[in-house]
Amino acid sequence: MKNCLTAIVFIVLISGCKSGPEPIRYGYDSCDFCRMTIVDNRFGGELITSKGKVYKFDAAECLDNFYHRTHESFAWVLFVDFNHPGTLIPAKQAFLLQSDQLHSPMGKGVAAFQNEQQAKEAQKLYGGEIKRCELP
Amino acid sequence: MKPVFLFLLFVMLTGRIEARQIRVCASCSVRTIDEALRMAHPYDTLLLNGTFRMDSAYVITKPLAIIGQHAVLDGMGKTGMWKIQATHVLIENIIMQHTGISYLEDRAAISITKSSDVRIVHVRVNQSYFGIYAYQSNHILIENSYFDGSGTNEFNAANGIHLWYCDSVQLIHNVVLHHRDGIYLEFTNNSRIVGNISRDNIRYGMHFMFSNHDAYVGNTFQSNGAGVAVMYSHDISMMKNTFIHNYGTNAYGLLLKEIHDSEIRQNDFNSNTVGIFMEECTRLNVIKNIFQSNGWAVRITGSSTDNQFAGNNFLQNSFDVASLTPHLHDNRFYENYWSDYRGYDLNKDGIGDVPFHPMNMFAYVVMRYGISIVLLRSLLEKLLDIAESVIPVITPSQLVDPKPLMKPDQHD
Repeated sequence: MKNCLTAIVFIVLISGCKSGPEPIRYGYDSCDFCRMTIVDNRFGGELITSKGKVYKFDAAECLDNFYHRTHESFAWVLFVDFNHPGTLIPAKQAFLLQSDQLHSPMGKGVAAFQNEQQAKEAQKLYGGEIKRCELP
Repeated sequence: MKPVFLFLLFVMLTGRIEARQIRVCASCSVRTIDEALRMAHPYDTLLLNGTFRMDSAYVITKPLAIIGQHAVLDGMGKTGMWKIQATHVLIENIIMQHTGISYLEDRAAISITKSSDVRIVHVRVNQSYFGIYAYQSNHILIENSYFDGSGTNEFNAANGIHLWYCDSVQLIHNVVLHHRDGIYLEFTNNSRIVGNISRDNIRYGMHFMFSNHDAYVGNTFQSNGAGVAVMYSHDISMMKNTFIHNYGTNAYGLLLKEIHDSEIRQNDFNSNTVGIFMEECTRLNVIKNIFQSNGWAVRITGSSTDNQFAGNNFLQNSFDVASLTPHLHDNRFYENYWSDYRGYDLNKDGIGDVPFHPMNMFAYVVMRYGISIVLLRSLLEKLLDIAESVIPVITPSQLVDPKPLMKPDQHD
């Protein structure tokens, strides 16, 4: 009985420590770099430290600035998929489109896409240039 | 000589006569606005009467005055009303409603693109996505107008008055409510915002991004997600505004992020979660403001330098000043009135003889461990504060008002 209880407590503790991406609550969460309330669900991203702490951002440039100013190590670098608002994709796979025609929250106009084809289709609409993310 | 003069007079007169009026109504000879816009010459006046149901926006490409005489434009949830692409345009006294929502175009009741000298006076916009969307335009006046977005969440709302890459804009005596941001300025310089009321907006009452040399005076920001956010800007003058009831976990009366060389004078911060939140700000003068009944009157982060707070009245705030860093980088407090001050004035010069330390121990604990707010006004809070006042170790020793006032500073 005692062992069983210990096991249950242990499982509860372990599951409580699960680290991973967390959905951004639009209109409630604020950007951890610029303090703005995050409302535009087509832009932004998330950083998760190796200890599991989640930082949320309203724009790619905020994430980039935060990444380079802190000395924490990150297990996850994620961007919001422009074509699927509110969903996160790994920065490694993402193709970034930078265009002045994209009106992003912080003015830089950077959107992230799942693959090169989607980025190219958006480029036809908005112009600009396609880049890969240099973060790990 | 005389014939030439007469000829000139004739030319001038015909010039005057040419600026004619075109009436548009159901029983007039001109029945649609499209037709009126086609036949109008520059500087003509369109007088609209009646209700106009619309399928697409009217595009204005020449100088025109458009004046409503009991006119209602209804977008039927499909379209905005006006697209201004010309100089010297006046839109006056028109009710506009139901633009509907569009995520593809920046749909607005009035959109102004690459234009100048545009005046929008006495219009009323109901249930719009954007109220006004101005892009790369200058010398715009928006006066005595009313914008109700009817937005209920951040997805179906856009900004009330949205200015992007504009210059010399005047917003005077407008009311903006139920939008995402009431008034939004991005890359917009040399503008004046006077006497507006912005309330019940989802994110900010007013929001500056990368905008310089602007002034806002005598406005009221009430019950927004946050009152005003001023970000990445310099030379902003903020005078005689009221920030009231901006409540919530991320709510601020005034949120300042990377602001330089600005004045914050004679404002009233009443019942906000945080009166002023300052991050990475330099050379700000915060003078003669009233901070009353806020959760936190002022929060400064360690990255702010060289700011001064003088002549302010801090009245019945839960916490007056809070900062997490031990050093305060030349942020100076002097001659403020603090309702928590318990000092004395033996020489009767109106200034307390004992310095006041506005940050208490419990404010520090709450900043570090938010949940400890449940102990507010408890015995533990008192004990902590007494212990810290006897042996100060944690609260920044430089955070001090050496000359606290004995009576509130009197100013209007």
